[in-house]
Amino acid sequence: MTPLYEFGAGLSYTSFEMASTAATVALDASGAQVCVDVTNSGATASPVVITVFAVPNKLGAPPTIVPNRKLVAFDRTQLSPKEQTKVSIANARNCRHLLTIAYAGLVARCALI
Amino acid sequence: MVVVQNPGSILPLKSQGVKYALIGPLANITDPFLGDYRPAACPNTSQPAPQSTSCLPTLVELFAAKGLDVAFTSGCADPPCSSAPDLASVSSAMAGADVVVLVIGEKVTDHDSGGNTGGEGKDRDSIGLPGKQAELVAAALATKKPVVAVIISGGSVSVDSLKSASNAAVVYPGYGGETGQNAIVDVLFGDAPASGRLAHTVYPESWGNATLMADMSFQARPRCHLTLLVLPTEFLNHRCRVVRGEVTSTSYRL
Repeated sequence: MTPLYEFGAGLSYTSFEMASTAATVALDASGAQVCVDVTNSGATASPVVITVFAVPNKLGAPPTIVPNRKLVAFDRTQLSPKEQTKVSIANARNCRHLLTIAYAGLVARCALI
Repeated sequence: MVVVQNPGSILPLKSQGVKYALIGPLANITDPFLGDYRPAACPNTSQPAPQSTSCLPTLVELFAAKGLDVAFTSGCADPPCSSAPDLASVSSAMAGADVVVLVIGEKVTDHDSGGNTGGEGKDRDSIGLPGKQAELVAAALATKKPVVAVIISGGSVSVDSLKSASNAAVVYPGYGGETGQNAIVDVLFGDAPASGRLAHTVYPESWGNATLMADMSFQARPRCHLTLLVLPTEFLNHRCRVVRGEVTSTSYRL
C-alpha cells in the first residue's frame, strides 16, 4: 500500500540539488562511507538532512521479516543560498546490497564497492 | 517539526496583509503540547497530575501576539470532536479569512480530563483523525482557500483528503513541549527553517483496516498469515474468514 508520507519525508522552504553522479560509496572496516555534493539552489538558508538507506538482500523465506529499506545514516548540514557542500556520511553500517540517498524525491543509487 | 506537503508554497505564511482563521479543537488549548508523562510546566503547579499549563501560550494567542488578524473557532465542544462540529461557526470564521489554519489531531495528557485519544490506557481504533475532525478538514478544503493543516499527535494520524488536496499544506509538529507552540508559529511563518524529517510512515486510513497489528512486518497483506491454532475464536472470527480451506483476510479493526 502506497504511504501518504514515507518515513524520512520532509520539505524545506528552499530547494536543493543533489549530484547523484557524484555520490560515491566506499567500504571500510566500519561500514560504508558515502559522499555526495549538495547545493542549496533556492533563495533561503536552510539545513538539509541527507538520509542514507540500505536496501537489504532479500535473504530467507517468510516468516523472516526483511525491511524494504533501512535508515543507516543521516547528516544535517546548514547551507546558504547557492552554497554547495560535500556531505560525507561515515559508518553507514549494515549495507549489504545497495545504498539509496534521498532528499525530497532525489534519489541516487550507489552500488556498494 | 515536519512539513510533508506544501503545494504552491502556501508556507511560509505572511506576517502582514493576510487574515487568518484558526480552526480546530487544539488551536486554543495548551494541555496537549506536553504529551503524557510531563514535567511541571508552570509555577505553582499541583503535584501530582493534573499539572497546570495555563502559563503557556496557545496558537491563537501567538498568532494574535504577532499582530495578525485572526478569527478563531474550535468547531468542536471537546478535543476529539466526538459530536457533530458547529460548521456554521466554522464557516463564519473562515468566510472573512484569506488562509485557514487547522489545528487538529489527538489530545494526550497525563490526566484524562476527557477527550484523550492517546497516552496511558488510551488507544485509537483508527489511524484516521479522531472523532469528527475530518468534517472540519472537509469544510476547510471546500472553501478553496489555502489551508494549513497542523496535525498534532503522538501517533500516526492520517488524513487522506489532505493528501489529495491541491490547496492544503500539511505539518506534523509532534508534541513540542513547553515551547512547542512557539516552534510551530516560527516554522509556519518562516522565522525558523523547515527541516524535520518524518520519523514514521503515514499510511492511508484504510491501511489500519488492511493490516494485522499482530503481524510485526506491519505490511498490508492480502492474506492472513497467522496460524489458526494460535487464534482465539473471537479474534479469528473478527479478522479472518475461511474460504475453501484457506484463511484470507477480511475487513477488521483494532
